[in-house]
Parts: sequence; structure tokens; C-alpha cells
Amino acid sequence: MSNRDKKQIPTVGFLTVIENKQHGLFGGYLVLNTSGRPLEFHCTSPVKANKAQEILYGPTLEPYLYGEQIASALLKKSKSVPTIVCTDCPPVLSVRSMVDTPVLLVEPESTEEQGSEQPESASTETKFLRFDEAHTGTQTSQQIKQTKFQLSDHKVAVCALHPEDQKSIEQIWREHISEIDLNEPFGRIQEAIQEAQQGGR
Amino acid sequence: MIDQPTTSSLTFDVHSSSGRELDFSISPLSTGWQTALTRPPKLTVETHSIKDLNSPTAVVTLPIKSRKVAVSSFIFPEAPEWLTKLEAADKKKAAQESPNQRVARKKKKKKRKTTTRIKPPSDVIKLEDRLYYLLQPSLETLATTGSLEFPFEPFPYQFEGMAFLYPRHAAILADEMGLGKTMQAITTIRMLLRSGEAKSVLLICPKPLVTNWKKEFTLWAPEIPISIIEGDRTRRAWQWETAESPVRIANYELLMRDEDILLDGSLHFDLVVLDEAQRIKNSSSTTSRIATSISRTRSWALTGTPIENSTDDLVGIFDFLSPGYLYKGMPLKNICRATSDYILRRTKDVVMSDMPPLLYRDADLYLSPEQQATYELAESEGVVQLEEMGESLTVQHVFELVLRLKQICNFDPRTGKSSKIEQLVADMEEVAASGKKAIVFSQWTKTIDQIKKHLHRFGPLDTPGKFRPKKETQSLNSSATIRQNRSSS
Repeated sequence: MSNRDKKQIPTVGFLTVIENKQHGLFGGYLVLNTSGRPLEFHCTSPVKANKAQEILYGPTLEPYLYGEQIASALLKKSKSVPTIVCTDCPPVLSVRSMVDTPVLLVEPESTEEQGSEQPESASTETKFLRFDEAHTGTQTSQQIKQTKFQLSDHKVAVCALHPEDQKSIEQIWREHISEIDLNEPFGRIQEAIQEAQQGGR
Repeated sequence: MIDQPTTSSLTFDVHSSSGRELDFSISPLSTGWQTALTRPPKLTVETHSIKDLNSPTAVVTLPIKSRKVAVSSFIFPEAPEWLTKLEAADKKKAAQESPNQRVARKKKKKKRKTTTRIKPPSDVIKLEDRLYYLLQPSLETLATTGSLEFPFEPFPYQFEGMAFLYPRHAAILADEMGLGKTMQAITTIRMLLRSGEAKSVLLICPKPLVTNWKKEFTLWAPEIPISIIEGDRTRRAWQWETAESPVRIANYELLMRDEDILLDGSLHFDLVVLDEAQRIKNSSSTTSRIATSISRTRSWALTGTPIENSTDDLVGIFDFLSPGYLYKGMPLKNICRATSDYILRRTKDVVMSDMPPLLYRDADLYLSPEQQATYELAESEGVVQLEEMGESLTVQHVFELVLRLKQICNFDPRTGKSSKIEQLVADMEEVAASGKKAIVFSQWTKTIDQIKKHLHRFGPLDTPGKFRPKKETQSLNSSATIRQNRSSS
């Protein structure tokens, strides 16, 4: 039995989707141990919505493509069950309804100096956004209700339909992953996707 | 049916511009189509029945097909179990640290601006292998998360050296002397062992350097067990064949003595490192022949002088790294192109930005009156003595007098007065007030003893003689460190 099959060894998943204007959306999923070393990497072939999907899905197209299509396919392929899945793409939060693992949205690091007096875990307001807004074509990425809070220096959010995730993530953070930089692995995934694209040509 | 009039002639009433009527008849010219115009059109009527309005409306269904997303998967080697335990212990230790320590560590983490990532070398073709290296965390991250602890903060160029060595199966680290090749090699070996990529490493170095390597391993990779191949033949045979320690250190001379053991086919190393690799520059030498024949997966060479006499020296080293890759007489341009991905060489002037600036400041001091008197007395007496020696006088006698005068310049042996120590104490006060540290060198141990007395309030620690890592670390924590320097006064 391999180490990673043993449930007591925690792992963290990092999932991102990058857009290529020519080919479409590429999903990448990296599983790390709590020391930040890679255990698994999965990436999708490009996904592109057709015209009918664009018209008929309207504002729900991004959650559908990012969450149901890409994230779901990536998580199904993973050999290990991570303690949490982190993402930097808001529409990926929609995959939470399809998996049991908490999904954490990590906001990109701001370039400005962040205040050091932030509490370790300070909850903020729940932000509700309308699902039924007209098809403006620009509302897509913010249609999943989010519960925002703070994990050390990281501004994070969970899907508001699963508020219990906040508590479990805070506990996992304290016990296992407080040393991990939640932003840095996404850069690795992007480089790996580019490498895989070049390798595939 | 529609009735059509039949007309053979037409009469028009035409009025002239003056109002007079013009009465004349006009007969149309008879053509074929006039008959056609008079023919009645043929009309047909169709009858359609109207359907029942209550029947169901026809619906067209357009299915929105979603293609199954194809996923490529890559699974990487796991960390060895001993490392998992070690890292768990490190995390436990980190969890127990005080809030102040945690804040200090996080500040240090934020302070690191550069990140050094491992890049796959060009000869790594398999996508899985390339991704494995690409997906590794930055070396600075490993250092800050406690995955790799260092006794001293490595310089950025040293991180680059590690990132260079780590993914390479054949590499020459050719940094100029003094830039830390040993430390870079040890840390990279440590990373390979901790990632499970290497399990057995053989390090070959000149005999006088074996002890130094052992010390450096203790300093930079204290958790890695090492064994030195030494002793009589039976003992050595046992050491070669039992893999108790992941790292074995042997000297070049032993290669020849233990050739039969090394090359009998039962030994394999994941990595063989040659220190001072110019020792194998001559491909036809026995040392080179044996070194190149050792069964191994990775080959690294460490040398500050990869080319001593000619480019053939490099060809000799490459016979160990990648036999046949270079050949004697190969044009220099081709050698440069072929080896660029295999050699990393930095010189002090290139990495100078990573080092603290080196400033020389000469201070002109006057001897104290006591020193001056003693100096003049010793000089006059010494000159007289030299003159009295006549023909037995040698240059050695002159040097002895100069040496004595130099010692008086440091301290007056009669009164203990010294203008140098007065200046040093004044400088040390400034250093201590600014929270910095100082290292004071002297050529003489007696002078060190004298300095120590005067610098007592700064808590000096002396490190005479050879470098001892543990004591050195302790010394550097003190404000003033006094060291004996064999080459300078």
C-alpha cells in the first residue's frame, strides 16, 4: 500500500483553469503533500463551449464549464482524496455540489503590502449575488454565492451553499497546512500546463 | 370569363396647341402578339381543406451535447517513509513554537523576494519527468517551510546552484574557489535523498579533504548518515558492500586499491560525485578508468578549474559524465555549445552582488609614547647587535628584528600600552552600539590573548587554529570574534 493511500497522510489539491484564446480552457490539478511536494498532476485537453452552449447556458456557462466539466473531470481522476481543494477561479466553486471535499477559493495576492494585524481567521460577511440577472455576458464569474473569510494572510471564500466548509477548513489549516503558501502552487500549475501544451505539439 | 373588345381601328381626338381639333384615323400595324393579347387567360382553381386547429404543435429538439473532458494524469514518486516521519516531527516542532518565533519566521518568509525554481534540463525528454521538476516547490519555500533547514542562509546564487544540480544526471559545478561548491553539492544530495530520488551516493575526493567533507555534511545535512570508506581491506570490503549509510565518502587512492570490489558488478550508486574532478582530466589514467566504470545513475563533477591546461581536460571530465559526448580536438565553439547545459560556473565578481561589499580602510595610527620609547630602544639595540654579528649576519636575523618591532607596534611588552588596541576598543563600541558583529584577526596567538583582555566587555570568543563549525557558529553569535590568521598580521 502506498503512503498516499493511507488516509492519515493529508494532501492538498490545487485546481486552476487557464484560458487560451485559440484553444479554449485548460484545467490543471496539482496534489501536494503538506510540505509542498507534488504527488499528482492532472491536466485536461482544451474545452471550448459551442455557440448553442454559449446562448443557452448564458451566465451559468462558466460555472458549468469550470466546475461541472473541468474540475469534476480532474477530481475524478485523482488517486488521493485531498483534505481540501484550493482554487483561484471563482466558477470552480460550483464543483463543490459534486464532491464531498471542501473547496476553497483563494484570492490572488495583492501587490500592496498587507496588514500584519489581521487575525488568524476572521470571518467577514456573506456576499450574495443574483443568479437570475439578465444575460449581460460579464456577470459570469461572480454568480456563485461565496462566504468570505481570512486565513492568516490569505483572503479566501467557500461556496455559500456549504457554510460548514469554513469551520472544517480552518481546522485543517491549523493542523496541517498553515505553512503552505496558498497562492504559489497555481504558478506551478500554469507552467506545467504550458509545458504539457508544448509537449503535446 | 372576361370579355375583351375587338378593335380594328382607333380614332383619337387630338387638340393642337392652338386649340384646333385634329381629326384623323390611326390603324395599328398588324403583328402576331396582338392576337395573343386577345386570347383569354387560362385560370385553374385548387381546393385545400383546413386542418383542425386543435392538433399538437410540431417541436424540433436540438440536443446540447457535452463532450467528455479528456484528462492526462501524472503520478510522482512518493517521499520515503523516513522523510514523512521527519517532516511530521518538524511540523510538530513548528506547532510548538511561540507566537513571537512564528511571527519572526513569517517575517523572514516575506522578506525573501527571490524564488529559485528547478527547471528541467534540455536532455530530459519525457513529459512526466519534465513536469516532475517543474512542479517542485521553490527552494526558498522548502527552506522557509522547514522542509530543509540550513545553519546559515544560503546566498541566492547557491540556491541557483542547487536548482542546477538537482535535475541533472550529468553536471559540472565549476564555481570559483570559495563560493561554496561543497555546500551546494551537499544540500542537493540532501534534497535527492529526501525526495527518494537517490538512495545511495558515493562521493570521491582527495584524501586530505575527506575530513572536511565529513564536517560539512555534519553542518549542512546533520540528519543524513554518512560513512567514510577506510581501514584495512576486509573492513573496506564490508563498508562497500553494506549499504548502512546513504552517503559513502572515499578518496581517489582507494579507487585503485578497491577496483575489484567497485567493478565486480554488484555495486550500483544512484549518484557518484567527484570532488576536485580535474583529477580525472587524463582519460587514460587508472583513476579515470575506474571512476568512469563505476555503475551509477547520475554523475556530478565539482571543480574550480575544469580546464587547467587545454580543452582536453574537459573532455576527460566528460568521459566520466557522458562518455563520448566530447572528443579530443573538438573545436572550441562546438565544445562551448555542447556543454552549456551541463556546466555551471560563477566567479566572485559575477556573484558579488550577493556578497556583502568588501571595503579596505587603512587607519594611520601613532604609537603611544611608551610604545615609541620601547620601539626606539629595541631598534637601536637591535641594530647594534646586528652590526656586532659581522659576517655571521643573515637575512634571518634582520627578519627577527623586524618581527620584534612589529610586535611592539601591537603592544608595548613592558607597559602593555597599545594605540592599536585603543582604536580597536573605540571601533568595537561603535560596532556593539549598532548591534553588529566583528571578527578580529591576528597572526599571533599572544596578541589574541592581549586583545581578548581588552575586549572582555564585548564577550569575545576566540577561535584559534582550524575552523570548527560548531564553535564557529557559537562565536558568530557573539559581538566580537577573535581569530588567528596565519597569513596576515
